[in-house]
Amino acid sequence: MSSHGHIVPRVWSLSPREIAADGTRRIGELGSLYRLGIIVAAVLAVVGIVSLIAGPLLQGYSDRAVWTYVTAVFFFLMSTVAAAPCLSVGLRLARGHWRRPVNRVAEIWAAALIVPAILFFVLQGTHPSSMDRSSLWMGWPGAPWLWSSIMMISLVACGYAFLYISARPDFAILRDQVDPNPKGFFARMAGDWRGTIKQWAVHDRGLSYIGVFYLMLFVGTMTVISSDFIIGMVPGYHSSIFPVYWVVTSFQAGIALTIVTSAILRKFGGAEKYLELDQFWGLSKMLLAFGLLWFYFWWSEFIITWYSRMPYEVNFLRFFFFDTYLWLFVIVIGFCFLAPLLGLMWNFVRRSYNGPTVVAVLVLLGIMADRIRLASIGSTVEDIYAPYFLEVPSTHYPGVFDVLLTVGFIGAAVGIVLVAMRFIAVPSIWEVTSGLWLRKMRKFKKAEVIVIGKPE
Amino acid sequence: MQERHPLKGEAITKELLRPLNQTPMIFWVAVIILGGILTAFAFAVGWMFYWGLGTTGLNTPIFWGFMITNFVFWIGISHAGVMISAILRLTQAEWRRPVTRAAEVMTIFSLLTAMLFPFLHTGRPWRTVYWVFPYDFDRGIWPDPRGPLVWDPAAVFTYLTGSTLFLYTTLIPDMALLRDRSTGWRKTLYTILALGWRGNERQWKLQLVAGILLSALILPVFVSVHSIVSWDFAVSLIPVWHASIFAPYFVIGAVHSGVSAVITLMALMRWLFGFHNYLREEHFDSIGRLLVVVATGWMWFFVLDIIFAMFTRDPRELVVMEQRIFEWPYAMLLAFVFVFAYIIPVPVWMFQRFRRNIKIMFWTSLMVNVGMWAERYWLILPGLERKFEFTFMWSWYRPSIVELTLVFGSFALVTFLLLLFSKIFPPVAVWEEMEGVNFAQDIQVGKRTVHATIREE
Amino acid sequence: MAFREVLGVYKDLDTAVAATDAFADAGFTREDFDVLTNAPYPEGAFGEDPGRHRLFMFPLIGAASGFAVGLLITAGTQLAYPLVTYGMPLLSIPPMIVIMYEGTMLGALIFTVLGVLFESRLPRLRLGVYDKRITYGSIGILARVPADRIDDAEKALRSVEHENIVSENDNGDVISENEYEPRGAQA
Repeated sequence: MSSHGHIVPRVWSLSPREIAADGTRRIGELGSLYRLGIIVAAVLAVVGIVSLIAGPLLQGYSDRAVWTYVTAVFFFLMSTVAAAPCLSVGLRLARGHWRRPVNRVAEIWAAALIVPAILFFVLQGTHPSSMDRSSLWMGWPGAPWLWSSIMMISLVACGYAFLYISARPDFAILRDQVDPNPKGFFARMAGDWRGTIKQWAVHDRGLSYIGVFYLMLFVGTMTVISSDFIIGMVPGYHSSIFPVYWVVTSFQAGIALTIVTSAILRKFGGAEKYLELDQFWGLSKMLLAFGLLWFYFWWSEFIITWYSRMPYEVNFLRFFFFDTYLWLFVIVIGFCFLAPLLGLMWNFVRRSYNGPTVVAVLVLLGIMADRIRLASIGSTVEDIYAPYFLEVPSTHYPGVFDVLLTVGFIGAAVGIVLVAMRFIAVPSIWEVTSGLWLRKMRKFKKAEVIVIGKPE
Repeated sequence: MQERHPLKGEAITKELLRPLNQTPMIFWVAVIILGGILTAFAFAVGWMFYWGLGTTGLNTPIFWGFMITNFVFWIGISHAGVMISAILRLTQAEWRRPVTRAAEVMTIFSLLTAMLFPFLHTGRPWRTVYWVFPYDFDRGIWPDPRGPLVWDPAAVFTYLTGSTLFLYTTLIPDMALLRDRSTGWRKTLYTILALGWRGNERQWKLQLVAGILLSALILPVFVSVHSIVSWDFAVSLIPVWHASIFAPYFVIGAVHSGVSAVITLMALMRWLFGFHNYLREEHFDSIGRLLVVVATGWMWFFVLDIIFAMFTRDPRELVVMEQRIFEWPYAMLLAFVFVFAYIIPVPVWMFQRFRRNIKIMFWTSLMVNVGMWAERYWLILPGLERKFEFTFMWSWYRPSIVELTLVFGSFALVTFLLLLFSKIFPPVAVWEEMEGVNFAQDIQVGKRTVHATIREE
Repeated sequence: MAFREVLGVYKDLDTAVAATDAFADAGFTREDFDVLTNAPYPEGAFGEDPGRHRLFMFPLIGAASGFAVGLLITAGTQLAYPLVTYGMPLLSIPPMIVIMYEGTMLGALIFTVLGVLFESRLPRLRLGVYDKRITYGSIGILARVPADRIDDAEKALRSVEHENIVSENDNGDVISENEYEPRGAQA
């Protein structure tokens, strides 16, 4: 019989009972590596908090440049931790079956939203009033602090609600299966979930709505952040494409984070039956597309600025790309555009485990470099009330505290996700199970074919 | 949510070839009306060439008016073909089958129409060709590739060539089908176009690989075309034009208007050719869902463009923004754009029962394109009217009857070409529908039968 | 060795697959026959097709050619008429990239289509052994075997219920056993 290269995903041969048992086992068993990860993350989190207090907080808000790396790590976490759940929303809207094990891997990062939220409120003190300067808020009362805070709180609340709604059916499975049930936690989280048809219908609808709402809030909040922290802090810089670049590259980082998390879960998390080539293939195609979009959005800004040849726009080019932060920019273009393009344009690389993982790691490093570059740009122009900046600032280099707090807060976010995995099944039990009925391998004359059904 | 029509085999072919065989009275009525408008169009072109650009409303400092607006609009419409065809092919969306051919054809005809207008608007097209094509060898004068007006034809020509080749490649199997069931001049034409296609396994395999490969190649071209058109405006220093967001903003606006135009076309094909079995409610539903996302993206870009123009606090930008937002007629035009291109259609498309109502989809898609034409005008004109703010060489633009005729004529031209195409070539790809039937399967889940498809990698 | 073709035409998938089985029973391999249809069937439905193609090479070659032409035009025209415009130096790279990009994509597109035609062995001036029934929904099993085994092939194709057998004689003339009367849609 002919199968012409089809590799049947192992999950298709599992029964719902086996998938539930697998999920329960992942929750119940804590390996020594997991414990080590938690300890390292906790130590890093403490280091991060101490560095934040000993560094920028003790120096106060008078010098914005001191806050550069707090801003950078905040940007990075918003672009990764907060962006990853958007991938889950998008994949559910597109309704591909391969998404099923991936969704929870992406949305589990919503658990760590508290870290960028804390940093955001600490950073609020670096903002001057939006009066008498170029700002998205145009002097609106209470701006920027009140309104951007409302957006941030809404985003974080929505992110947690999204994760909770998605995980509720799994909480019910764990409520009934995990022994001993940790302090009735799963029972409280599952509530009255019994899995009736009505409950599933409401769950399905609710998950879609809250997901779309999260996505829209994310876009709105990131638009505001990009304007408040970067565009509004560089006099004369009023690039309308920048918020789009900011959001799109964040999606790119969210995809990269999901790929890296999937690779780690495959290797150490016992999820190798669920996160297979199909998932890496699908995600790597998206990473390639977003790599191309990275270039498109950057180029669209660059060509307009370069072509105008106005002195203040030439200064932007020197400041952003060619003089002050040339080497950071080289890393960004290399890791965010060239690596996905040259690596993932080949199907054999896309359809592998290591290829997408290596490119995703590079993309995350590239996005980190990009956010450091942009945080440095937004924090180091001295006179933000001037109509244009006429002298290109010099490069801002990090100190010891800057490095420590950057690593520390990333560690804190990872630590929270590790803890969350103790309570939330990754990959999702219910979502993987509900896909079992809709995909089959069948005989079609002399061929073995894959049959996909889409009921909704 | 896959639905199925009950037909198989020859019954499908018979239905899909009906427009080639039968000519209903409405067709002739349409031809006569469109012919009348096209005659007026040809007369207007002749009149303008004879008397010069004085017959239009163009005057210092406004040299880009209705004709350039129309050019941008039709370039936008042309994006529908690739949006629908390439993206849906790449994602293996099953509902693409009856939609792709018409969308691809619309791309080509709207591109051809768009290309007419920059040439027409120069008033003396035959004198302007050497701006673009390097032919004036004697004097050694060459086009300057540093100018965006040279990028533009390069992009449009690439897109037109690519789209035509894309369409032709997918047409070959249907040409063979027509070759085997026609006589006379049609047989000669189809025999030539079929290139000796026999439909062996290798040919089919390559047809499918080509569909994916060409889709992947043409997508970056499609993005570049409207981006480059937008740079015609954005690389200049004219207030409100010099905006970095213009490229993606134009692209997403093009997708919004282009995909809406596909809905209009699908509804017309359903009514005119009776393709109820193929252009089903589920197709309108799926495209309507897609349009909610696209329209919301477009609205985000629209708002960003406005906000960041005001963000600068530059008096040059502010004076034009004030004119655009608060002064007649642009204030009303802005409200018109919002209401027609977003506020009415998008809430309607949020409800499935409206998305599955063909009449509602037809009228809302038409509204979007009326709004999007106005949006192009709103984007282009005000900046020019206040171009020389220090010398107060300000002006108003009022389109002449010649320009109005040219704009209406362009709509007639595209419609006429589409009708003509449907008399010679199948407007729905027959082989793609047959393929859908060959790949159709069912999966039984409890008491429910779920429609399914064999998935190739 | 001279090869000859014979085509068996079958009204549905079941009989066509049965014909391929009969063909295999007669000692022929998968390389000895091809399947003609009016639309694609799932890959491998008639047995794995061993044919390989190199279509993916074509866009790469086209892209390289297009890039070279784009570079030639943009650099050449600036050098042929050396004038600084818009304050931009000669050989300004960013605007050149725009046209070189379009050239690259145009080259890739054109070469892909040429590749499709070349790899599909099109255009084919003569249809040869063929039956119109195929575009009406029947399935053709086209045997291409050494001339000395053509009778065995024809016998195998005949052993299953068929609509027509089309063959070619030594002069290359096509002989159809059962000429087709159109029964479906006509253009």
